[in-house]
Amino acid sequence: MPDSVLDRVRGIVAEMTMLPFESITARSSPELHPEWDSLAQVNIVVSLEQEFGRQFSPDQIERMVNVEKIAEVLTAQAH
Amino acid sequence: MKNGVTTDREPILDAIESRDYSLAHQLMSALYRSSRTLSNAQFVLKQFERIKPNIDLPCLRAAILRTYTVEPLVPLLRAEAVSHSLDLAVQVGGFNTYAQEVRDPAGGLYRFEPEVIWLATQTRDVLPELWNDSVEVGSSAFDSLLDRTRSELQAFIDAVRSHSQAHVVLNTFDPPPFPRAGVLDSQQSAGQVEALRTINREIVRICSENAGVYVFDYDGAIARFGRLRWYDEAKWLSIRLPLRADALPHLAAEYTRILLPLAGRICKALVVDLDNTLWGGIIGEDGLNGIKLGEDYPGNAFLEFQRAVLELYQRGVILAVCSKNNPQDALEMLSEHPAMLLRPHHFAANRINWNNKAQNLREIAVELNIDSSALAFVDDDPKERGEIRALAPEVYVIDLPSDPAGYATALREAPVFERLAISAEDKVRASHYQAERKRVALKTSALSLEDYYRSLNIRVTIGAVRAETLGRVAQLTQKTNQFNLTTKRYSEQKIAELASREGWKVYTLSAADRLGDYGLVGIAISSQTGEVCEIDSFLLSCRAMGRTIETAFLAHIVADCAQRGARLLQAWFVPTVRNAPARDFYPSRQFRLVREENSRLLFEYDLSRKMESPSWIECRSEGAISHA
Repeated sequence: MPDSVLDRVRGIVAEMTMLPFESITARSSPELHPEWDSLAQVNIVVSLEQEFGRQFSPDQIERMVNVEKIAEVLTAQAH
Repeated sequence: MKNGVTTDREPILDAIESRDYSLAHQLMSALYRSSRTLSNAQFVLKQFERIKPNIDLPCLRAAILRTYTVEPLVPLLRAEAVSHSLDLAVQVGGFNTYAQEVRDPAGGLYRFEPEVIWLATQTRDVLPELWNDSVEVGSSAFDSLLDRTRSELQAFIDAVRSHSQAHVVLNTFDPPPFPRAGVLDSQQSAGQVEALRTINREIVRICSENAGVYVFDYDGAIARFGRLRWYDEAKWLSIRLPLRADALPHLAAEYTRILLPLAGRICKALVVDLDNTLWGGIIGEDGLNGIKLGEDYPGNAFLEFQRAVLELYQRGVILAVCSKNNPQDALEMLSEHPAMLLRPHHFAANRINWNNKAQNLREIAVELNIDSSALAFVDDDPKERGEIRALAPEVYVIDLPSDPAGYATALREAPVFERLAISAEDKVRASHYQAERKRVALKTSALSLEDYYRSLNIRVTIGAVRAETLGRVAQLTQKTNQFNLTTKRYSEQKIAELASREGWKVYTLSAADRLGDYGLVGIAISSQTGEVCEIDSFLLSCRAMGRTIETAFLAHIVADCAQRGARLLQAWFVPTVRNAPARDFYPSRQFRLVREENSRLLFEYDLSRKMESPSWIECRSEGAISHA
């Protein structure tokens, strides 16, 4: 998995949760950050679609449970 | 990218760092408009919070009541508004709880004190019968759906009205991208699409019958973007968000086209460049015969642009020219070229010279008697646009693409010319400015100021607000900045409510002179408690300033208050950035300053004294109000 995808996901998660970029890691998830609530999750999905020019299936949206998993969804579909 | 900051964002942070807030605001607007993403929106809003105290933007509070997920729309909407110099506060209601929310006076909706209540509905939530199936227009099933929709919407409006003066916006209903009967639907005069159109016509009717209630053509917004690119079944089924991610910024921009005029954030005048903007080529070099304007490309692209400018003129937008040219060449082109749609009489002011355009624009604002923040400017040359942004940042600059084929669309997309109502005054505005030029000529030739006033044969009619003038009265309280003593902004509903209060009066003044009709240009609101009358509002449209009409108006109110048994007239002057022209109004008319509170001045006038009305103004009263 290219690092840049993981970093871009970190950037989007940080922006939508209003958390500092440095505090978001590959392991970051809604359980670890109370700011990552259901509203932030909707915004993260929309932002990912806009930034990566993609449309996700309900299954893919369901798999987006932490930063690493989101990056996996993005790279898995790319090939 | 460094710490989540991309290179296109760094100049914004630098501008804030060096405290150039106006530049920071412009860069934010440009960033968001160049790429309308949620990520840019969040960034812009975060930075906007930092500079907000240092830039003076009008505010608007909007509550969105909804049946589906609109949360990602909120940052997009706010960033879009910021990019058009509006500070928008948004509150979102609960899922499908709008019927309860509007009926709960102590609930979150009214505690938010919204100025706009937007009911964001879609067909599949509110009328699932018409989304999933076809109901034949004219059948009893359809009639009961129509009745239900009508009574629910009217009850919604009535519930809002019993607790709030907020503007209300209702969505039209969207048909599904594929009608259930396929192409057969269009072969029938009573199919699914026709059923929704019938209901939408009913919504338009309801809005026209209720003051302060407006239609948002949701169906039209979807069609403009593309129905097949609009919906996202996957997100609808998983997170109740029916729109694709790239349709959301478009919806935000469409909402803004309604919110800007509701906030009064509009441009009153458009200033156009000439060479390569109104026509192809340079008149000073190519001559009348070398100019590209006509039926062939690119001449037809310039013709279409002129058509778009003319549409604004017909909507009441004032036009002006600002061009670096030899005036004779430019005026010859404007009057003589056979293909021109715009002619000299369409333009209320011209600056055709070699001076810097920022200076010219400020002069045009003074000549038109409007604030320069009410000017929009369009020019094909990016250098000129950049110069205006730097030197006259309050002017709204419209960017044109490099291909003239895109000019007309760029102008039609600018939301600052949107209007939700057109008053009779808007329609005659253009001819008003022609008459005004003649007045200036007359003033120059008159012997004294008094001779000049007499030569105008000014006639004013003063009356009380009526149902048919409510709209204009509200519009004037919202738009008038210069000759406005207290600058209180009122909605139509609020004006109606004030007029119905015991002891309150809402006066209107219409004026005309021998060169033209000004229309309804003055408003005063007074309240009486025992022997004391207070002037709540007093304003005169800038187009009627400088003719002593305000003195005739005040004299009338003084006489009317005295006749109603009052002994003392109180009046406030509340200073704003723009109303300096009204500062001396009361003291120069024998009002006595009695108090000063945070730079607000309270004046009193002893009503046992009669106030002289200018003898050159013929003053008539309308209805029950008598004239001294």
